[in-house]
Amino acid sequence: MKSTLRALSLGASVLSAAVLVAPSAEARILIDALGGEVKLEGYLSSEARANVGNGEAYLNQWIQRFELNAEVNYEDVGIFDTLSFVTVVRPEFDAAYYYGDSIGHGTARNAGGTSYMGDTFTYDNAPREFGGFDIYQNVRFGNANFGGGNNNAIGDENRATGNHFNTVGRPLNMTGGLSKIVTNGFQNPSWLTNNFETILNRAPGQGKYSPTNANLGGFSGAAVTSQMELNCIRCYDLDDDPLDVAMNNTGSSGRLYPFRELYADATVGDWWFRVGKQQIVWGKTDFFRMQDLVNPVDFGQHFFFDSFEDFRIPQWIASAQWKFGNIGPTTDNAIQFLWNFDEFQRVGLGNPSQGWAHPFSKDISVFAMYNTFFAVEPCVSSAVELERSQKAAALGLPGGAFINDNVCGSRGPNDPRSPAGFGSPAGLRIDDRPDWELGNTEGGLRWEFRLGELHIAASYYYGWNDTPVFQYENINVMNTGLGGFQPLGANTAANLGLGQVDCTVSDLTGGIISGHPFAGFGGALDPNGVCPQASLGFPIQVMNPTAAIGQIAANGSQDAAVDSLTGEVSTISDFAQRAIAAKDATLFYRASTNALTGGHVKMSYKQSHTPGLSFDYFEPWSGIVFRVESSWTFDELVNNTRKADWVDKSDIMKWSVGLDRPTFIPWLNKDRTFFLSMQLFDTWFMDYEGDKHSGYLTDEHNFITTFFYIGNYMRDKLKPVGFVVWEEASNSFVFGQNLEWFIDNHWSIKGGLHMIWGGNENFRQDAGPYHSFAVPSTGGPSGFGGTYPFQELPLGVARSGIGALSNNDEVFFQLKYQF
Amino acid sequence: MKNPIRLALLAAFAAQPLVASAFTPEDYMAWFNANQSAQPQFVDGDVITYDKADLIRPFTPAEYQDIQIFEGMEVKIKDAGDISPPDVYKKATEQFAGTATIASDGALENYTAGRPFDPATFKPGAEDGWKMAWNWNFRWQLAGLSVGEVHWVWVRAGGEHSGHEVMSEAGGKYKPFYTGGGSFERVLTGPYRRVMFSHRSDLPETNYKVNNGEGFAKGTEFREYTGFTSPFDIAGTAFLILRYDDPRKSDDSWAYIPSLRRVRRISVEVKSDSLLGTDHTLEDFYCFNGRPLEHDWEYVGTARTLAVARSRNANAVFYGPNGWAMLDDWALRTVDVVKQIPKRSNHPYSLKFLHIDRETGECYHSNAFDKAGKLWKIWQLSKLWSEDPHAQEQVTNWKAKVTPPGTRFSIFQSINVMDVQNNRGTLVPTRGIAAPATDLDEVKKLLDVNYLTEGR
Repeated sequence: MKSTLRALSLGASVLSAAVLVAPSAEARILIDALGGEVKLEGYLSSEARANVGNGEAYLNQWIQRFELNAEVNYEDVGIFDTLSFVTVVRPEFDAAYYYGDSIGHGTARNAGGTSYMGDTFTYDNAPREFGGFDIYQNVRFGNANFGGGNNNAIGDENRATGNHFNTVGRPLNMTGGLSKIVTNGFQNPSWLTNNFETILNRAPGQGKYSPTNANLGGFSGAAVTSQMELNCIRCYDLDDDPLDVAMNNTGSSGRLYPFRELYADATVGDWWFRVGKQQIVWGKTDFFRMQDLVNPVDFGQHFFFDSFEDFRIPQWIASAQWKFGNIGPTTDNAIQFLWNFDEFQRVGLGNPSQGWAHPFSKDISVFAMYNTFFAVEPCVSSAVELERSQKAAALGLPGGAFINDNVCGSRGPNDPRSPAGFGSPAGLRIDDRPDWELGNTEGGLRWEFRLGELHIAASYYYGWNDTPVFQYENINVMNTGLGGFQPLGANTAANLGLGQVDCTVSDLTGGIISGHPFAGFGGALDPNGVCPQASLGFPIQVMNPTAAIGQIAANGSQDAAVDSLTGEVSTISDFAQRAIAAKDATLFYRASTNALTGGHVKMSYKQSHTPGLSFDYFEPWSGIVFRVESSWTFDELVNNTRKADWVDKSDIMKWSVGLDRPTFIPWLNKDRTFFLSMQLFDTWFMDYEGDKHSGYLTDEHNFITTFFYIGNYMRDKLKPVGFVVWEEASNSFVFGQNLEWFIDNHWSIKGGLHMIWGGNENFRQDAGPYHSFAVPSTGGPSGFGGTYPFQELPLGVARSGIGALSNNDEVFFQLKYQF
Repeated sequence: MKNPIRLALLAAFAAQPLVASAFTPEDYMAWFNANQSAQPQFVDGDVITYDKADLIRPFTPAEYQDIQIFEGMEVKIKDAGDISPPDVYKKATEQFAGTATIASDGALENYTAGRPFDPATFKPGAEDGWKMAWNWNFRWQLAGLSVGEVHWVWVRAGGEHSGHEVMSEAGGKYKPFYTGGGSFERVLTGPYRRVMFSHRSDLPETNYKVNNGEGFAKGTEFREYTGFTSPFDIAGTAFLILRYDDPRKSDDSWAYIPSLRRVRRISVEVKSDSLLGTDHTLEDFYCFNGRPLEHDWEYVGTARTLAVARSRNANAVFYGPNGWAMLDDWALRTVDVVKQIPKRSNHPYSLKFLHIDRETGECYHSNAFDKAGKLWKIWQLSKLWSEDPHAQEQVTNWKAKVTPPGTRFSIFQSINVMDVQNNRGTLVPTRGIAAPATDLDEVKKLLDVNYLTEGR
């Protein structure tokens, strides 16, 4: 906390100094200029946020912000009754992020800090990402006893020493896994801890992010903590400069520089036009968006704790509204047409290294990291290749000559290979966002009117769903010569015609440097010579997921497979047939430990039609304002892990009911009411399919209840604000409380806290083709020790809902000068 | 050494609660009863200073005397002359006299235009209390008040305000209006507009209604817009109130909340709540701006009180040790006093007394008592006569709309509330004030709910 206090005092000093040296400002500056009246107003603020929910307290964010609102107004210009030009500029800088190594937690600039979701990246808590196929030869994570009895001794020794290497201090495989970049001499060990963290390996009943659960096995993930550029086509936030991240100038936040908003306003009679970069706000509900779907939002800066105005992403939109008064029984009619002609922007999830990055941002980082480091072909250092060739020659194994092509960089300056690579498709390949073209722009209309006591708004919007789905482009199906790894059947030559031929390389050096139990098995695994010469690798066919399951079902492989949920043993082809019959791909995937080696995913989007309806009503006897809002989206893309490629469509209805009432509570404040507001919100998936751990990522209904209050004391100069949110499906909670003091027309200070808890009851989802990536457990069904099918990674965080962001409890303090 | 001691004493005095002991409605009535037939001992042109303050005590409500009377005071006595409403209003009053009635629940029925009832016939009690309330409600307003700039100045007793930014803003153009003492805490700024749509004495040709009561004007008594342009934390906030012509129908109210960028339907409970932290509520504007049926009414009787009924200044000028006394001409006016008793048990006031000018129908003074029956707030209002030459400064200096000649309107110049329990007040001087004719197209734009979303 010392760093936090130092940051706060520094912030106050900087802000005070800025104000003292700045020219004295009036409450609102009006200047006659540009032929009209120019108005300037805005603020300077410094806000420090300290994470206090993760076992230690540290400065998470310290944001210096300057906002200037400028407008110039004219009257009677040409055909326009009024004409205005408005801009909002808002540069900001997160000093805790940028200087994290000295004052923050160090999640940027290779400082080695971990986020609220993470632990230090080690072999223990992320063995596959750390050491690749080492885990399968290391009994520490399984009870298999491969290649001889001394592996138990190896395991015992490793547990005692904390060393996952073998008795000669070498990894069991020289390629595969991020640590191989270090063991091949290309980075220091600190490079691993400074740039990666382990996330999403929570064990049931053990709270957040503990090391691998011994009983159920864990699907760990290594997310990037620094600004390392990751290989994911068109992915946001994976190649941001630290300064851009600190300035909130990322793909996630939208293009906020140089102008956050910039538009022209004009009125002509009963028409009002606004063209430019702007926010369009429809709807009547707080915290949730049903009709309010024109602009995307960025949840990656500070979740939903800031005002929507602050994290709604302005877009280039043309809007025209016509007020046409009374028609029949309706009054105050207005219809608004709008055309969002901006490039599509998805929901913002934050740069993965940021303090409040959404868990799905971490997911993206994990799988983009897979594509960057694991999908590339493996290579080794020159020294390792020399050692391999000498040992191969001494053992009389094929590939004894030095293979220059195995050496990293030997293919030229743009050689993409890495010692970490497995050489087969893995991870997130592309964020398949729509390009800008006329047909991809969005549009809609809203009709507002009063009918009796009701104030009604009907809307329609056609546009791209802001929230993407993860979709499998292909999966890697084993096609080896070794029984047990032949889901397509034993005729490996015939199988070469199924999909694209490739190889998942366990060890480019064939396992012979460390005395690998599988050393020498390369030829048996790869009878058709698909894998790199002298390597230890698993030939695969890269196939469309639906086609793969169909082919496995048809080819009748007799490979034994275990349903890792029920423990039932049958053939892999039988499980594939069951999946087809039941239209439930999880029946196959959770038995696929020996059949698959992951695959490529992409983020997919779709356009949908969304009509909406809302109204408000004031009930005089109770003094309550009722707000009701609803929307219906047709055929929205959703993730459904019962589908082979994980993607489905569903109609989604969202609705909310809100109650507002300013209420005198005299014993608390005789002078002023408390504004009390309560809401019930539901997302109803009309085509729902699934259960608690498979199918859709949430329950059929996702009810969320909110309550908030605003108090006013000292003539509204002291404002306490508090809120509580409860998400029923995940049983997770958010609580927030802040107090703001408006000292005078310019200065204000605000402090408060946010707490998130719960979401521990269910945080697991079927892992689909990545089921085979789960770390084997010590107990459970046989095979590689058994792997529990329902994992937190990759999509289980959706089950814990709001609770996925727990352990990011914070206290904050803000100093603000407005003018 | 005299002056420093005197100043210290004044400061000590100013720091005390404005009314040393609890002032109750009975105390007010004691002053009322004692002075109902008092005769003035001053004449037109007299300037009442501190040594002659006793001359005006019978004509200054007891609770206001500590504010009006202080060393250094200058109360100039000036008869307001004929400030009666125009002939159209008098004609409508005469034409429809005797037609309006009070229903059993207090609602006004069969009313068309003009002053509904003759106050000369009133007797103390509830029956005439209702009549007085409706007389107040339908006083002469032409089409309603337009204000280009309202200042809401939060004053605290004691101290001084020379260093507050409002004194130097825009080259010091507000400085001449805020003389005297008192410390300023915050100043809010924003426009205001009210438009009357029905019972318009000036529109006999359209059934005394705008647009014949069709379209935008249908079923509407008035629409009222209150906006705020500074400081930044509330800039863009605006309230729109729709008062229906049906007296039994609740108002509809909306607020534009800038941080939400959304119009929000608001509960009418807000009307009796402090407006953005000022000492006013939306219901206190003008003296009383609420729905009569939400209160009970009792006619108390007539009094003669001093009031700024025809200001000699284009804009309100404040002075005094706390900066909330009014430096102006004070006219001796005959007022009807009515007691307003909120029906809701959770209303912050237990009752208010309103002083309503017999001739103009305007209010110059009111007070409010809390639930314990202790004096809480005092309101003092000043008016600018629309026909006076200096009223034109509103247009030339403050960009007001044009008030048509012959409107004969006591234009709202200021409403100033003193919270005697907390030693503070809110001055609400208005500038750019007018009673413009109705331009329906312009009004539709401003007072349409959908206009609120155009705000920034």
